Amino acid sequence: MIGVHTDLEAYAAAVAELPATAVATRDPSASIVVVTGSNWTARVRAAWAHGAAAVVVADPASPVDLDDLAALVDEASARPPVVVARPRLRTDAGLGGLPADHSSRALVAECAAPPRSTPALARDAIGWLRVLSGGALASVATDAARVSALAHFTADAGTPATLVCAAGSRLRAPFLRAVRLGERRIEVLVEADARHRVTVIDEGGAQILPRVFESVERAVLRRAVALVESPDVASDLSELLHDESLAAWALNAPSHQSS
Amino acid sequence: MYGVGVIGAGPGAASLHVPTIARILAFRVTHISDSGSGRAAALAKRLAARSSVGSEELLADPDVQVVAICSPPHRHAEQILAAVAAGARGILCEKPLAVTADEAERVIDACRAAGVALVVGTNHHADPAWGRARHHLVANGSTVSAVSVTVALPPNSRYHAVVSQPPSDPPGPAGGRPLPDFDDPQVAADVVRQLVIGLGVHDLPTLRDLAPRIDRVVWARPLPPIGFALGARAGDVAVQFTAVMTPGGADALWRMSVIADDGIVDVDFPPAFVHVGSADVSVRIPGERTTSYAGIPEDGYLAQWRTLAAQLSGDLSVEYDALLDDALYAVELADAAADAVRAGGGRG
Repeated sequence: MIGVHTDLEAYAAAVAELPATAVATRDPSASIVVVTGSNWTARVRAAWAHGAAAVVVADPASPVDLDDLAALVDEASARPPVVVARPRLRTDAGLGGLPADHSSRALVAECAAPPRSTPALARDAIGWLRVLSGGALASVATDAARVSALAHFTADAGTPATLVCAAGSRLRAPFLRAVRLGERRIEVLVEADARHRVTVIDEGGAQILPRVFESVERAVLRRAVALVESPDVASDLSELLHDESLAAWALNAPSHQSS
Repeated sequence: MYGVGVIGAGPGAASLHVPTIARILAFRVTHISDSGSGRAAALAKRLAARSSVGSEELLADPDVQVVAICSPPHRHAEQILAAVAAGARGILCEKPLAVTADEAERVIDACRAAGVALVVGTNHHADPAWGRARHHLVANGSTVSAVSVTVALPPNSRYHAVVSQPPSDPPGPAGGRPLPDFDDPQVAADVVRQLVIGLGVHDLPTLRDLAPRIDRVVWARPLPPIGFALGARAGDVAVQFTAVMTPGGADALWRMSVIADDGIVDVDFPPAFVHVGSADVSVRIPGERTTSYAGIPEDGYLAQWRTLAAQLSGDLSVEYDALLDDALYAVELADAAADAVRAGGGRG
């Protein structure tokens, strides 16, 4: 049994859904501490200073200070694990069970959101391109204007991964879709309530992967507990830095080709 | 009833226009020509039509009033000009209308001067579902901020087989056709230009409806073995176009997503060649609702032949200026994409 220190209702509910594993506590020491807010990197460091056993970052704000985040990634290697909850990037949505597929020809992402949500959504769309390509992306070209941005990345073996992202002044909620094109096509649609619809299409037809009914909060708490009890290292922060860095590059460069 | 002479006897004729014409009583295939493959004779025989080699005999045939041009793109302009000179009353030219701006201007001038009915086979633009999607955007006062076209195509033979009975081609040389050298920037640029103007052209008139002026191509690259990716800026509108061909697997995906300030309109076109009605249109208002429109029985292929019939009967005027502007738009985008490939050193 491990304590969970949180002020967030959704995480309190998740603790209640893990009665054999977690218990709510006001003491951050030796506990899993849940942080959020625009200054979440400082709160991660504070949690470490208070002796947290692990830290959960709840739906981190974007954009972030990239230098600060990079420093945090460096510090994290010698610190208790940090798990990042990204409700629009549920990599536990069934993709892990798919057989390896090397037929990917291209990756495409489309997203739209109210203007204030655009940076976080672009970051998560890039996260999906990273997940569907199976590795880090390299920037190639971008073009950002008043309400829309384009970006071209390459994945391993030069596979292109492209993104179009728009700010919709009359949108009330985000839209995100990422597609891996190949003989086996994978489409990930993230709806406004963060519900994921993952469809795998091959010659036999289309298979809709089972809906994930576990809340993102419960899932990340379970991961945090597992990391406390194992020597495994979480890559969440470095993945977040990758996605944030590319999103900042994509959304802020007027028109740019990487050299 | 108008007699149709079909120039070209490949899949575009055998699996597309011949079966489509059979669905429309206003037209009857009377003559088919090829460039010497022998396919025209076999195709014409079961239609009780004449066949020939080259286009001269076909254009001189008194039973040919309408010409369907189903040859490779670089032949289209010269064959339109020849058809006009031979006195054709109407022409349906497979896309693209022409491969250069000069060609496009000359064929439109010739058709306009002769009063020839003219339709270009951009079936996605003719698809009645596109009219519905465009109406939705206009009626709602939507401001378009991005267009994303995503295409993944298995071999066409899968779809030929459900609308025709194509003969088996003799096996090609072992190992198939060698891939172009995509590391050579000029080769890569030529391939991308051909693909934009030959494959991407399906959606360029629809794209022009939404983004009438392309300011710049941000990236363009070939996607081996066959495909391309490009990104472009058109004022406030970001354009992403990715097309790949796969050796098999998943059925065709041909989706145009229009991202507006108030929602997302997805237009999912059916695979080429088949007749399963219009594209599927759905409108997503995130956090509120998704509306899927019922399909329309008519598809873009049928719609373009009906348009030609209406032009021939005088019920519809020929949109020469729009056709020219569509053609110039495609040529300019293809040229800009080729320039971007060269600037990027080939593969992108």
